[in-house]
Amino acid sequence: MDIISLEKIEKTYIQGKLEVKALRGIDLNIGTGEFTAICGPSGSGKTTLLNIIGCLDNPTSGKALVTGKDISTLNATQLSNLRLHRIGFVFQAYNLVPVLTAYENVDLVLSLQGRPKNERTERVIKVLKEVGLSDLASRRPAEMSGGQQQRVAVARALVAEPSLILADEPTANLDSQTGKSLLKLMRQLNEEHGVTFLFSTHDSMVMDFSRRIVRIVDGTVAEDYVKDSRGESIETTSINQQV
Amino acid sequence: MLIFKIAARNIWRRKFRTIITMTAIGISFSMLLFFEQLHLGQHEMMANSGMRLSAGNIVIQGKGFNQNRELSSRVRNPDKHIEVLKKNFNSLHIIKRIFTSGNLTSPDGNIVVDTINGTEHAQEGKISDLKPKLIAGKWLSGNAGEIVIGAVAAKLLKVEIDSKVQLSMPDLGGNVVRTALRVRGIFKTGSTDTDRGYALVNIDEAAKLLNLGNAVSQIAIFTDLEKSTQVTHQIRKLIDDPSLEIMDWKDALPTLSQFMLVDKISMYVFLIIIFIIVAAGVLNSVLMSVMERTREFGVLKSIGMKPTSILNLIIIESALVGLLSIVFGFIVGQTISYIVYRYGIDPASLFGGESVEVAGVSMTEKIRTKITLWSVVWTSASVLLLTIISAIPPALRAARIIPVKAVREL
Repeated sequence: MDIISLEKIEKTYIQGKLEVKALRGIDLNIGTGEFTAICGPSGSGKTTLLNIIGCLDNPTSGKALVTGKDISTLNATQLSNLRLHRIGFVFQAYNLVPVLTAYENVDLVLSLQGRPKNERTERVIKVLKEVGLSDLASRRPAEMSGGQQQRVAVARALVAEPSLILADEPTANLDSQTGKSLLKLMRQLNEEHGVTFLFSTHDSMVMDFSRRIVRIVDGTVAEDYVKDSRGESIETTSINQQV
Repeated sequence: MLIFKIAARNIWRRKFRTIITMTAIGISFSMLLFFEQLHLGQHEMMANSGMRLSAGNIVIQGKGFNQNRELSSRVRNPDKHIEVLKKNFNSLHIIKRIFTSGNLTSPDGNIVVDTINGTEHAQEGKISDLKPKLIAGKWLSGNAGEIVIGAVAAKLLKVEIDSKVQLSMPDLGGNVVRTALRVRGIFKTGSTDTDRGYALVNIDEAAKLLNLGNAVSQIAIFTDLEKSTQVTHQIRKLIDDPSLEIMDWKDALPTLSQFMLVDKISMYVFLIIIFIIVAAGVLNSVLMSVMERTREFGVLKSIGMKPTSILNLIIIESALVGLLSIVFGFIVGQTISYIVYRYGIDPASLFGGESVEVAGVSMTEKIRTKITLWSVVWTSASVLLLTIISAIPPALRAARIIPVKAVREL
């Protein structure tokens, strides 16, 4: 079953008097449990696409189904609820709440969902253990390294057991060793929990870890392929040469 | 609860700014509290002084007496009314008074006395501000032929205790009557007007001399200041006599009550200016804090925090700053207020040693603050409310942040 289904998605921005077409008719289906990277050069539209999938932005035209829901039919509260319950976010700059500890940052999502305290405690402890941060639970973001902060961000994204985790350049601010360890963790979580991961990246390491690569060029899907365990392309599902 | 935690910690992210904001709100609040309590104290003192000298919390007078101050406007059968009052109320302090004016003459001088108060010596003595201010002699004893005068009058007449003076004044029929009296006591309030132009004699003597029979100028009634208006209404129902005017102290002392009203209005104008300064300070501080955290609000919205929660977060932050400021301001304001309550401010010392008369009332007593729970409650509540209201525009701005734009902000 597809967790994301995009049909002829277009997005146009108005910058001053200029019309900038960020997305020019994207058709894309992502199945449940996939570990997919959307890659492409800067300005190709990958972040815009991720924002639309994350219900943070609306497409100018086209149909976007996320977790089976047509996002164009949802109001702000419904979109907010969809993000809160079904989607986890990992940002390039970690974006943790600076005044909260690692534990509290992770707990925040469950707290916003209104879950009872004992259930939250159990869940947060479990997730922090999974990302290897049990010992740093009481530290605030400023007291942690970039890699540790990004792990907290992953834990925050994961804690509410979403169907989908969107990660925008998650390794961009990390050294290669830390980035690799983070990707291993995400891959492991993907395999263990079956949660769908969708990355926006131009980091080759992220692409190496991903099972499917969707290459965006000038707002269109230029290449879309699934890799085998050796990293070779085994199935190309769509090549759009539209300019 | 996590929102409270975030709010509580957020206010200390920029310690210096928060402390400056809190100091500004706190000091403004302390000024507000202090001036409110000073006004309460000053007004109560003025009201009490005015009432004790020439009225009561409530007065029963002959119709028109408040304007003409003439003997013809009199209460003809005061004892009947006093009986009704005593029957219906337990804790009223009642004094019969006859007011007139006249001349005092001694071998060495002659002065006009604006207010001669023919009064019940014992009853008057219980509430009078003049009795504790006797600098020589004694209070009226009730015997015939005695008068208590002020220090300025005594000086002008060159008289001492037991000196003889002659009092002359027009009686009810307009004929000038005279009597010889001995100075029994001399008071000194510090107010030239009172010390020169106010004298007390015994009521029976005054009534006889003025041909008033049983009649008096005024029945002065003392009760709780706060209850005055309510008791006045009750008395009006009990004593339905068209020849009488029954009024509370505000009507009986119109100049004083008008002065107090104007004074109160001017204080509120001052308070509004303080409020505007506080509001501007809070607005500026919260707006800066919101703009600095645009990205953070974007992230919070991205992960599913609702706009109302962000609005609440900012409001809670402001309310916490407001509450802490109020605690700080309360300590400062109430300390100053307590010092002024304890030691008082001598109005004379503020005006170069001269006694001060405001709206016909001699400010002879020290001004002391009046510390009431209500004054603390309403000033705290209004400052807290103001802090919250000032935070609403920046809070709305934060709530309306578009996450996709905000997350990109550095």
